[in-house]
Amino acid sequence: MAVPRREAGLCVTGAYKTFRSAEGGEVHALYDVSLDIELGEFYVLLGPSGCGKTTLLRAIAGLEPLDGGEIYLGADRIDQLAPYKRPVNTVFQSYALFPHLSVWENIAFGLRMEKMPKPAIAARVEEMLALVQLSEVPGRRPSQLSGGQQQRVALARALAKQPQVLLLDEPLSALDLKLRRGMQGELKRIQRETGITFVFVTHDQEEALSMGDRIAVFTDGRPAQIGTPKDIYERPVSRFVADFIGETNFVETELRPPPDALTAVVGGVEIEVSAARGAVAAGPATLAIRPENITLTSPDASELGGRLVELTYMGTDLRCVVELADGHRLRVRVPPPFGGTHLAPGGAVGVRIAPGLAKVVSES
Amino acid sequence: MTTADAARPAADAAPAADAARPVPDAAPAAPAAPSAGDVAAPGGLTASDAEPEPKPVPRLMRGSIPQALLLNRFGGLGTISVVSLAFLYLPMLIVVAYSFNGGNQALIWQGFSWRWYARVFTDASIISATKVSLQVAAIATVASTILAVLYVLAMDRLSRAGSAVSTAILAAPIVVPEVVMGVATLAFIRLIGLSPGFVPLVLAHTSFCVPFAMMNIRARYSGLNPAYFESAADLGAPHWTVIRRIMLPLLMPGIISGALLAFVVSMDDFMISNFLASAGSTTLPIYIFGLIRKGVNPSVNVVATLLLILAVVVTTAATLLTHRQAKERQHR
Amino acid sequence: MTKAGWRGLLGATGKARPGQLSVGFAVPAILVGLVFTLGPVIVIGVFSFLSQPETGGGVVYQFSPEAYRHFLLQEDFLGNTHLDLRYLRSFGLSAFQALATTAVCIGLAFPIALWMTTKTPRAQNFLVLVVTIPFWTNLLVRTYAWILLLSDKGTVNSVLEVIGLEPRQLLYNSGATLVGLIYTFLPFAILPIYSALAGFDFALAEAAYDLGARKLGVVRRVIWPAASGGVMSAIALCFVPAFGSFVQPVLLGGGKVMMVGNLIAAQYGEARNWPFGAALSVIILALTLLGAFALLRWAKRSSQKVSLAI
Repeated sequence: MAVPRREAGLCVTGAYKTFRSAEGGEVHALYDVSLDIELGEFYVLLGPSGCGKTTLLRAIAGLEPLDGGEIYLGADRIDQLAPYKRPVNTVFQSYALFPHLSVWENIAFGLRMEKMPKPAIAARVEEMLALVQLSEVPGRRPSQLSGGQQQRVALARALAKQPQVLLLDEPLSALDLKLRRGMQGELKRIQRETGITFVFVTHDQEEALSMGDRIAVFTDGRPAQIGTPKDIYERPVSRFVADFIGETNFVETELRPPPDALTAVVGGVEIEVSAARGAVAAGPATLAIRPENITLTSPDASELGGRLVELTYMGTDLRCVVELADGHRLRVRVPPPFGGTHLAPGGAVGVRIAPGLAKVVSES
Repeated sequence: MTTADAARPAADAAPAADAARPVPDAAPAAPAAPSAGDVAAPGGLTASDAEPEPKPVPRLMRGSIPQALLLNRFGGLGTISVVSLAFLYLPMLIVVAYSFNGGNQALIWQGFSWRWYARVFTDASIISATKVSLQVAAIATVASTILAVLYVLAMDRLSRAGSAVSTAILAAPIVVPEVVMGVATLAFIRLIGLSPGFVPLVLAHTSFCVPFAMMNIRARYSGLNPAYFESAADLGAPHWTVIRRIMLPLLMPGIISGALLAFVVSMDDFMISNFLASAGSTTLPIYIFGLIRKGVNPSVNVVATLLLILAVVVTTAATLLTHRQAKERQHR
Repeated sequence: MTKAGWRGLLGATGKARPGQLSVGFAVPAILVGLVFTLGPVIVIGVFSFLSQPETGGGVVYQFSPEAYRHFLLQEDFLGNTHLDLRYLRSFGLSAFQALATTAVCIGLAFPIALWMTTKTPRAQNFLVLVVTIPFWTNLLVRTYAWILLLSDKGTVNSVLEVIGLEPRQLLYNSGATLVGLIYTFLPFAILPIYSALAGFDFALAEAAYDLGARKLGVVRRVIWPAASGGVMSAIALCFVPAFGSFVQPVLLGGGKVMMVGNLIAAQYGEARNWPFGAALSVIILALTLLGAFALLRWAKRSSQKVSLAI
């Protein structure tokens, strides 16, 4: 693989895009979005459908003009350029492989558009076919390929242009689960090998966590939080982020001002909590507690007690629901071994919440 | 065309969902089961890629319906249908049979013969009328197909109102009674200072062929995924290159079948041509109308058979073209 | 007109997406439609209010409502006007023929379309082709076939003779015309109804059976409502052209059956009364548009999909 021209990261500032809905109302697909995507980064745009992530991707590709804002690639402003003039390429959700062209011709299409000399095209196409491990099928039509193969051709076609940024619009969503896992690893490998900046759109939080160097969690046309997977998972800033990514218990409580540590009362017991964003004022607050940060003990081994109301055997763990004295219900995962368990539905249990791992989140 | 929701014609993504369209455009149920499974690639794959089948394509499960519906037990249904379809074909088959009659009289069978075919192929009047028809049809087909392609490629950019109005204008030749269209065109031709003849024929045929040519092109167009063109632009193709290298090749089955239908419509037209033709520009339908008016005639049997063959060939070709597109769409 | 003017008129918005042409490319087709379809229709409207020259065809550019008067009234030699029902009778005959054609075609097409939908997809495709071929077959050829069948020494009379019945005059009457019309328009009726039913989810019919409906109940309460949009299209597609038909009355009715289409054509032929022909055209066109309008309103109210064009 020839080393592509890697020059600079991608920067979006103050992007706006408004669509008119069928009823005549306005929908803000993008609302004051600013992002800095670093060179060579695997950047994930994550969010539920309609959150604006795909609109942003299409705006970067030049397929959707922005109503406001600017997009820079390094020092060059690109948001005014026609799509075919941007050093950015896209892997479409539907792959959009040209059905009347062979695999080889599909991959060569973008190079022909550059008026690259024929021998160079042939060499690059071979290289790409090898990269995506499809060297055996250059003569086939897309309709003769399996879904996974089509996906690889789409990837090869976009990468052949040696773009500075590769945009991927839910590229794995049409594949079945097992194949998707395989392709996730494959994409990471290709990204590492080529060093190209990837901007990857997905609604699958697991995919985002496992693949992204950084994740921007989108909702209502703007990023709710941007950070590494660890940041996002362990220090969600809002109820939305905590809820969208992974499983979370929410507890409404009262924050106590910190003489030495930030605390809150849960089930009548004061526990140590932390906040993702600096200092938090005393008063009512919402806590997000991950199920794996709660352990169950015998009733007398913990200050905080509750009653086990639900118990589900999942093989890898036991999923429990515990009702606290104040009526809050917490989902808890008990890891194996399950032998000698004191757990029985209706029985009393002790509950221990790992200190500092209950996070204060904003309601928005 | 002119559907109740003509305001947004492009929204009809599935062409088959479009109400009545006798375009050979297949059952909406589309071809049987997806046959994609039998082209799985041998070798060349890594272990992670060993998926046994292409991505699953949602398909309509229709095979089991008839039994479930128990409609087969409506005794009459099948009988009515088969008899009616026989009713549609029997008269035409009789014409075909009589075209091989060797006798001088059209209706008395005197043995198999190519005699009347030979007669028709050397009949100067029939040949000249056929020539006129072919010339008019060829020009009208090319012109109307070009107009239809240009319109379809631009129609999404019309506003709702603009699209509704232009759809109504373009579909009008199908809705207005033919005899009215004929006399109206005659009056119009006279008004602009032309007299009946070849040029008015070509102009009128071009006009009424546009909606017929457009039906299939439009159906094909709305079935195409816009991502094809976005991805071509994304890969660096300038505007006209996208149209030339991607849009037109993908549109081609629709363009060909649209052109075929326009050709047949032009070749078949009697009513409008009847008012516009002059002595030197008699078309084939006008000529055979004159023959038929005098009663049964062995030459008419032959011409009728040839026109029937034209209809069969064109309809079948257009159907096959649309089926190929339905198959492609399944693989997308 | 300026480019901006066109854009405003046609309502173009934004930039063309990849693969699309700018809105100006739609203009030639629209222009051809305007000039050669709308233009003639307007001209015929104008002609209907002009006068007839002393001799020959054409018009004299002088306003006159005479053509419309002529439709209902007649002047005798003494200058008395009285009601003339000749032309109304032609309309009545056309309406009757068209109604009968439509009724028979729908009556046959609904069971056929239903039967088609119970076949396998492959068979359905084939049957659609079978119905479509006659549709695209030359009208004269299809009408001529019935002359062969019905003429004095034609196929039907030969069969009658063989089984020992008296041959009879079958051609050149309104019955023969009607048969020709039904034969012509049956495919027009089958295709829209089939289209409507082909998209129908037959699980609904199963649900109705499951809930205790009988066969006829299922057809009446579940299948028929689903087909009604297609049926309305079929009615429009049969009635309008049958009402204005010309070829079948001439060839099968032998000129004895004078329908509106023949009446109009005659005004531009032997009768040479262009304004009157224009007035008749305007009347039939107005009726057609009125019917189309009513149908579209019905479609909108009942949110059915109706197509007025094939």
